[in-house]
Amino acid sequence: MTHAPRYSQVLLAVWRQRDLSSPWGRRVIAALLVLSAVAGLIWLPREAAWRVPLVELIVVVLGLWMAVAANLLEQNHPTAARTVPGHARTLKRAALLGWALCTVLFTLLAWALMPATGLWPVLLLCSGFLSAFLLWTTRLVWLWLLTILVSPLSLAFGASLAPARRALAALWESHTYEVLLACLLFQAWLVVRAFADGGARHQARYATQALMRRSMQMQLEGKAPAMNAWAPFEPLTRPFVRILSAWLRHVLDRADNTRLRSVMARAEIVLHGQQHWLRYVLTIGVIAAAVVMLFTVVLTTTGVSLALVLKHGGVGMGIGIASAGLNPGFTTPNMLWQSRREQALLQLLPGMPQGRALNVALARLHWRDFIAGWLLTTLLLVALGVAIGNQLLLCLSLAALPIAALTLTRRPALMRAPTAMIMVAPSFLFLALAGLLYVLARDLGVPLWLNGLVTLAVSAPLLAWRWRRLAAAPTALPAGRLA
Amino acid sequence: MTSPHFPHTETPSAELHGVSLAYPKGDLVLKGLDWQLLPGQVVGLLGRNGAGKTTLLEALLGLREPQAGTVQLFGQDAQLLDDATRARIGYVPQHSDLFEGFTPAQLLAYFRSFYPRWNEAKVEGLLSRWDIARDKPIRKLSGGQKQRLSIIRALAHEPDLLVLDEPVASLDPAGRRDFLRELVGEVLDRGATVVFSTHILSDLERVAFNLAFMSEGRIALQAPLDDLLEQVRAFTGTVTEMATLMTRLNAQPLKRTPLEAGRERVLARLPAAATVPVGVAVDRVNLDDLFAELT
Repeated sequence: MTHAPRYSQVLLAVWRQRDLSSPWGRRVIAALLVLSAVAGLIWLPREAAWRVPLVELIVVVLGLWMAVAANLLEQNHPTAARTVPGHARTLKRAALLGWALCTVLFTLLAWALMPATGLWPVLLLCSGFLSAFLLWTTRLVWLWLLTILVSPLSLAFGASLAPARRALAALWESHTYEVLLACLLFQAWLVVRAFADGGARHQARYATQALMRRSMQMQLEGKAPAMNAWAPFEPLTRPFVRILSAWLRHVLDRADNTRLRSVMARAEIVLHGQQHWLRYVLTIGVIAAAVVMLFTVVLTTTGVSLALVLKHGGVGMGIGIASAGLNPGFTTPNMLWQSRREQALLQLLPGMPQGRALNVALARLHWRDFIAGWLLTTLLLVALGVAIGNQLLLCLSLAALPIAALTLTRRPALMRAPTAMIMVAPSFLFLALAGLLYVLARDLGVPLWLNGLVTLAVSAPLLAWRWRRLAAAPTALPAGRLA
Repeated sequence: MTSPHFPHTETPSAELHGVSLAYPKGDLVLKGLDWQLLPGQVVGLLGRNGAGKTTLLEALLGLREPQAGTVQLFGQDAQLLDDATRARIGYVPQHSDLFEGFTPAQLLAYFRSFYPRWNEAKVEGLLSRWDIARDKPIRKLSGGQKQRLSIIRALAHEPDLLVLDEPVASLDPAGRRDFLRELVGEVLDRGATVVFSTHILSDLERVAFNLAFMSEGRIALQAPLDDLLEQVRAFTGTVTEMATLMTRLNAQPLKRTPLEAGRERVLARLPAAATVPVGVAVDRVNLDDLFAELT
């Protein structure tokens, strides 16, 4: 019996299991790659132009390998590993084949970019290591953290490790091919070790990873998973759970059905679910604390000045701040899709507004969160702008206004199931518009105040029209019932 | 009973000896459990929620490693099965383990590539009869359809040992009937060993020829269903009367329940053809009673 069909089955699974509901992400990435290659050929000098498609090919090869590796690991189900004949063995061999192909392709492409004589053994070694590392990062996401720690660690331990490094370099010089072969064999062993043959530990790990995969898939589809869904980090979320419980008790203790604010505060806990403002504030707070800590560690260990970091990374930081502060606001209405079963019950509760009043109350909830996020983000951008001497970062705040006017005034009764495309499109639009405003101000000399005026002139009537339309729409809840 | 794939043999399909298993930081779930499944046996595994049925079935398949005891499938260590033995096993887990990004057609083609035999006609027939869309992503199928697909996958390679963990939990009555018919019509005719856990006792009465009652980490009793219904009786009387009666009938007491005023109720299995003396308070028992008393 030939085993070719089973290899084609496991290797093609990544393509067969692709998300058919939102193909646009893949198409956009493909279009961007083609466009940048064409643009490079047109505008870059001839000696540099041919490198663009080569670099893109490297990115594609590595990206494809990561997708295949992640899928192979997903196929490594403990039950199948134990009960399906040859399943785990086939996966290991397929992974080895993929790793070898990726290594060879990456080496050839890198060699084409840097055709220095005698460099190929180093390229082969590095590309083999990179391919194995990428496979393992799909199993252990935290390995990516190592890349951040490499610089401070090498500074901290560089001196004490220098003799070992020199000895390795000497060994490489004297026995290049033997060392290369040994390293490649070790990398191949690492690839095989990523797969397991069933058993209790494999089951526990697979269950954790399945939970993580589901959480990530839910996020892509706009369904914020519960905090404890991030299984490995569950103990870290316990303080969050206590704070959220305290807030719930606070709201319930002050329940008053004659006050719209009280009614909507209770409804909001269900309607915004995992994207409730308190959860969002807690999450952002933790991320901000982690970033500050990381910066402190890196700056103190490397001796790099903050001014230098701000000078070179200020714009990137601005985009990061704006993404964290504004993007979640664009997607809040999608949360209504997740609680639509509970919404029928909510509708029956005493004090719950109906019809137009409900539509408006719900939109106000979305806008309250967005405006709070927008004000805080704008303040941070102004502060960052002052620090780096570039107030054009405010283009980010301006660009958010028309996007919010569009996304926060959708009619909930007519909404459809959120897809990955629906989730990321506002962010793409937001960044594209911000980029346009930035280029207008920086390269064409359009004053920032004029940019702001035009943005407001577009956003205000758009919001007024959409708000009237939303208020007159069928009762918002249950969401999606008329789609 | 013989089949081309499974010549008649008295070698047990599965054999567990002194199996003890605990979860990390948990109590023992299986406590020195002994169990044997013979070729052609259809065993319904009964037990209360949390009794350890799923753990037992997972240990049986080598998915859990016991801290003590041995588990053998077709004479091989369950942890070290070769490919030929794996090809003889079919498993429907309690929770779907289907790769949900596939369509049913893709999933079945995927698994077909691993098995040396595959009954395509049966697969096609079941997909049609059970009305499962071949080209719809599995994640979009209902819970019942996923369960049916899982059953089709487990039956497709015509296993000699079929392990089903609550296979009908997500099925409606019509689906359950179809499944049981399939089990009887296809699997039993080939002389396969079938073990399945369920809480739906009426289903057991249709297909399970043997019942295994699980309690306190062990198989408390395993016997043919007809024998149990025919031979198990509930007696009521004083403790002394009961002791005398059990000795006289050579009966095997299964459970004693103390009552008021020095009386007790004894659930006992009588030897075949034993006759209960006139005047003794005795009740027949049904499957519900057996489940309530023995688990």
